[in-house]
Amino acid sequence: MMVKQKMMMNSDGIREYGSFRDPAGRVYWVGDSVYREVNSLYFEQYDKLMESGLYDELVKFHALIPHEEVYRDEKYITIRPQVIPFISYPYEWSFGELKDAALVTLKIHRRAMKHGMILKDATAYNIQFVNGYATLIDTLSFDNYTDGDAWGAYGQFCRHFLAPLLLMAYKDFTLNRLLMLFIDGIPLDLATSLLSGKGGMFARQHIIWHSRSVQRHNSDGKNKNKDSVKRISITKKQHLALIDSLIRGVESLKFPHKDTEWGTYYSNTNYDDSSIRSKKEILNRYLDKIQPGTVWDMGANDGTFSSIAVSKGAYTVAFDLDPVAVESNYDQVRINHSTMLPLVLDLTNPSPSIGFANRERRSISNRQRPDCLLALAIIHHLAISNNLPFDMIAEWFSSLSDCLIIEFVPKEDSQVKLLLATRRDIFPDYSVEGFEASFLNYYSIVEKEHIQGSKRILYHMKKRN
Amino acid sequence: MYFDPGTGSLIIQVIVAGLAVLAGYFGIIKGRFLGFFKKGKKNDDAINDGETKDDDEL
Repeated sequence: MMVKQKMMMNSDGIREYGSFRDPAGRVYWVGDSVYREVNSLYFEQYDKLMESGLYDELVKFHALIPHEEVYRDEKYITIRPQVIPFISYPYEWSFGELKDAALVTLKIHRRAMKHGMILKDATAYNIQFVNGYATLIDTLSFDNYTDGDAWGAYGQFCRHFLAPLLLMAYKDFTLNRLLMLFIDGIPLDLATSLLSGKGGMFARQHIIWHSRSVQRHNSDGKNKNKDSVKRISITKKQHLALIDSLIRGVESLKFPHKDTEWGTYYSNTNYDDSSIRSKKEILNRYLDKIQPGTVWDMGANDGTFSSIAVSKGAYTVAFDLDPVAVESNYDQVRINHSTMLPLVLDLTNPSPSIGFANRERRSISNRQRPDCLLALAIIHHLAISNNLPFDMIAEWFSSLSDCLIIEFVPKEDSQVKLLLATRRDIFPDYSVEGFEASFLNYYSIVEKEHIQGSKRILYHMKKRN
Repeated sequence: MYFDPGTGSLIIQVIVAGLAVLAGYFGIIKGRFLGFFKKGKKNDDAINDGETKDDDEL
């Protein structure tokens, strides 16, 4: 149904600050709805996307976010895309998530060529995860394709996807965090230096040779003889062969197997069966009472307990510091297509706001206010391993959500003994009494229960007014 | 395009795209050679023209 009243970004909406580079349109918010304003200079491409069958095919495969056209006149079209439950960024993704984001970008581009169109950009920020599907959210990313056109976004694709994937596969799986420092992807000369020759012919072509070519032609635009900067073209056959070879190359990249401290936490004998069952049963009851629509699990590990929130109908963001655990969790989510989003996050150094004016990509605190936080088996890591006082933890948690389910792990617990085994115990206030005294400054305790077979206590807390 | 694709990126693209075509031809030749010894097995072309073989996947 068409809304007759035209919605103007400037008068009705709040601009989405991360949407400014492409003059084809702008994104803005009105209440909880997001709108994309399409300029008349892009009408031709938009209509071709919609009428060629490309839009329907991509939506069918969950590759493009669906939208509703709500207004159209000779100057503007306004569309209302489906809202993404939680915006995440490539420096928070696991290896598998970044790989799937790269593959969907390439496959969308390949399918677009079948309809006489191409992707005009290949930024990782155009991809979001919706129920385990990597999905393009920028409906205006498509442009007309003419035989002979090279892929203008190839350089961007290599910086945003190939460089971090190769670094994660061949050097260290945390190196996608470099994307936080480099807003338009990892520079190819840096990636070349860090790879140190690893990555085979795939890296050699798309990173090393590519980097040399970029450096060699950096000053071409300064050449006053404009004829020397010629139009570069490749045939359609070459173009498709390039895309297919990129797809094969990305598909061949593997997450390097490595044992990490927390990668298989719940597979180890930290809990016996009765403790796990008891913890799950208590969590089930708390969640049945709270009925949250959105949950953040702050130390989700492989999603064992996040899955309980999902089973209650909550959209759950499952954060963990350990990339191996997040990868394991994502392996399940991409099969089950559940309403869970696993992400890598260091609670002691969470994602900040970055980009122009520090507003382009939002900090964790500014993206969503979840109905409930889960803080299971993490308090001792924060307080003891990271020397964080209880009241600072409570203050931050209470700023994120009004509801908290938190597990207190006492000093008698084997995990805490392990943490204190090689250091002085400088934590006189680390006790149930100290924990409750600090958290009661910010929360009231709705209920608490001991987990059977352990000395741990599971709390349900509600933020004080 | 709303950003500079970079001359260096476009030039290297010509080279790697050409290599990709060659790799595709070698793949076809290899497939036909191996297929000669495997009766009843079809050889898939390594290069397609944008038509996906299976409309059940992207």
